[in-house]
Amino acid sequence: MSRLLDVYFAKVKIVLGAFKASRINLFLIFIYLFGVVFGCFGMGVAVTEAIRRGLDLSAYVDEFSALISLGLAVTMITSFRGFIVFDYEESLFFTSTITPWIFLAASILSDLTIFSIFFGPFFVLLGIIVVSLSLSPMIVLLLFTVAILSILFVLFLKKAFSILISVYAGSAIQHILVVITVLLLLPAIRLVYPFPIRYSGLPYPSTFIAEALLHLLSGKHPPSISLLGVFSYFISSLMLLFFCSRKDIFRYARAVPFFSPFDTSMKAQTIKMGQNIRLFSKIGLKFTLNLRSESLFRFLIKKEMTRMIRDGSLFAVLIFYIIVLIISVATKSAGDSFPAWLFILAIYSLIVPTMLVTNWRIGELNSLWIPLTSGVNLKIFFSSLLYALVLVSIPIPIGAIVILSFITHPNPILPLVLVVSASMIGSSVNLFVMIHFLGKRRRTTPGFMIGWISLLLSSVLISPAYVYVAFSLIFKFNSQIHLAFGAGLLVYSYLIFRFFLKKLERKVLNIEI
Amino acid sequence: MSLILEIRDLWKAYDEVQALRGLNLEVKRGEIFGLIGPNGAGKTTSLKIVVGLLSMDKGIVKVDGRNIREELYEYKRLIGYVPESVSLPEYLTLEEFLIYSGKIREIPNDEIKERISFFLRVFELEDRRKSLILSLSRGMKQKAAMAAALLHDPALLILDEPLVGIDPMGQHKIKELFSERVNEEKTVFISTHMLDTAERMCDRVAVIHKGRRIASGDLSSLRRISEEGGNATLEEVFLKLTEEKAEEERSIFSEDIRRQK
Repeated sequence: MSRLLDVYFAKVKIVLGAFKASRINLFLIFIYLFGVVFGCFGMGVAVTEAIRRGLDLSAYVDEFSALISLGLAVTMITSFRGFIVFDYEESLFFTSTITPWIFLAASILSDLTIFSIFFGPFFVLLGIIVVSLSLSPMIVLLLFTVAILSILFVLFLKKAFSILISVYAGSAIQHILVVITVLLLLPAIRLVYPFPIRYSGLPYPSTFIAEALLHLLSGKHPPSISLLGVFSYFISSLMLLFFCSRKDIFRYARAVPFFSPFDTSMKAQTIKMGQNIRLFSKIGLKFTLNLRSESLFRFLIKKEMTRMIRDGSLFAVLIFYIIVLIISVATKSAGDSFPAWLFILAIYSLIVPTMLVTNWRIGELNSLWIPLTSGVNLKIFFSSLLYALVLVSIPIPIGAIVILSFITHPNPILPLVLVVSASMIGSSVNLFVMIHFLGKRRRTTPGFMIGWISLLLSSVLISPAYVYVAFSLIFKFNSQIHLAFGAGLLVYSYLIFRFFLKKLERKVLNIEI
Repeated sequence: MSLILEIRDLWKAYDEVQALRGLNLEVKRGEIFGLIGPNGAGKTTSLKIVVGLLSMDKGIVKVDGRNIREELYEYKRLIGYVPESVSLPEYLTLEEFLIYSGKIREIPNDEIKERISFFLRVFELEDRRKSLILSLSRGMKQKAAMAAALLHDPALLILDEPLVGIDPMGQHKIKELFSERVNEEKTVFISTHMLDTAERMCDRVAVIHKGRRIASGDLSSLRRISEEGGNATLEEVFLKLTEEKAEEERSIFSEDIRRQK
């Protein structure tokens, strides 16, 4: 037991160790937790209110089960990479007398610890519902037991399947796992298309979990079969993991560079970026940087565009909006999907600038010494970067909107305003926040925290666009009002863009690397 | 000879660690100057402040009379810099990287073209002109960074551990290049812990220890300061000077403790 705890504490300390690099990280974690707890609180109140007004949660078993099943399928897909360990685990634990069982148990415990830091606030959601609805102690006990057993089931399954993939590489077991993944994906069809088969009648683990959780949240005793099902799947996954731990698994492990979400060295991301460049430069080398008579500003925009083509950023944006197109076309027959489509667009157009700026940080931070020591006017350098980000994040969604306006929706003004506003505000805010955290004493802030702050600030500043979209859906604005509001919002977005550009130009002089 | 680099009373702290404590340095035009010191002496911190990658807490840094705080961009245009661990934009080809380096230094296009060809020839990288930086070896990246730093013909070339990772042939070429620059009244300022390199390459060196300069001059004057014999190597002089300093600090510390008791 003490050895298990030793391995567990070592793993947790190594992952969380980088967190201590800066005092500001504590503040940022607090902001993150505050945001999530606040969101969960709101969601908890909304669900409680809906149940009080007579909403029968148990009627949504099919939909909830489909969501869980999709999550399980995604987990399975990630386990197809095989038994992956960090390089430090290979050199520290695999060369010692630690057994596979101790290593696996410690890994799952540490995964659970890290998981609880990020997703712990979701238990607030359960807590709010439990307290507001005054559920009986027995129901509460069962609710938390089912939730924890379900999480453990997923963790055990992921670990066990990744080991099986590595140990039995090239055998029939891989085909079996592919079949299981496909079976798990089937209920998810229901999320995008009204599929006739009711998977909730079948003994899927997701069905048992959904049925048990939704009944318990409604204050009802779930059917015994669902409780038995959850427990049986949990025991089966535990036995499977135990079976895997009896193998000599260490020699099948594939070591990858260590990466902690709190790590600011960006070692792992930089390696991944190198793989992307190898892949995308095959296409990207057709676009070259030449010596032409053009301004430095234009040259630097071209250079940033070249980077985004060759590191796969542009491709990722394309994929984002191709998914939007597919979902929109697929759900066309399922009635008026315009609000849902706008919602997806709103989320995506907010995420795209964060992704682009994060990719810039991973790819460029280490070579930022070149412009910083060159004597180039840093205002020109960073404003060209900002314009390049806007140039990439606007045309692709506009293309998607134009295509969709031909296929499904006649009025493209609403999505166009949303996308242009989100791109201008999102790009300028994200870049400003990123540069802010390159200043003195802030360099040790992890990238995901910077992304989180940027997302929060962007979403607050884009909220007038969201309000406009919501009002236009409720009050069914005519074209004149659309044009007036749209023009107003574009002016507002441009002013925000200019404001952060000016702030950015002052901020770049404080960069320290 | 007039001064190209002046560092006066330079202070820098990282949280509780005092990296530089009133460093003073003077580097003359047309010389190869070496900054040597043990690990943690403050060499890289000094260099980073001089090239503008770190801010200073206190002090004055001037290149060719231009103050870094007052004329930042004009100041930086006088400098070429190669860090110890070179990290370049890996998504660019070697030629594109050099074009980028030339463009941001606002060199005219025809001169960029000419100088790229010259440096690719000097560093024997012509056949890798169209290769992605990602595919270059560490030594090649080091040479590419050196070419980029020399592209605008800077008055002061600053290098952190310039010969690490470069093959003997490349090292020889670089030394030749440095000599040519010195003949043209240009200055090379290197920071290194390879004492044999400093001894062979540098006209003058400064020894720094715990953020302060403890000695500077050519090898013969350092021998005099350290009271080592006429045949003493730079390594022997360096060890004597740093050990003496450490001993001095230990005795001051012991004295303080005694007084407190």
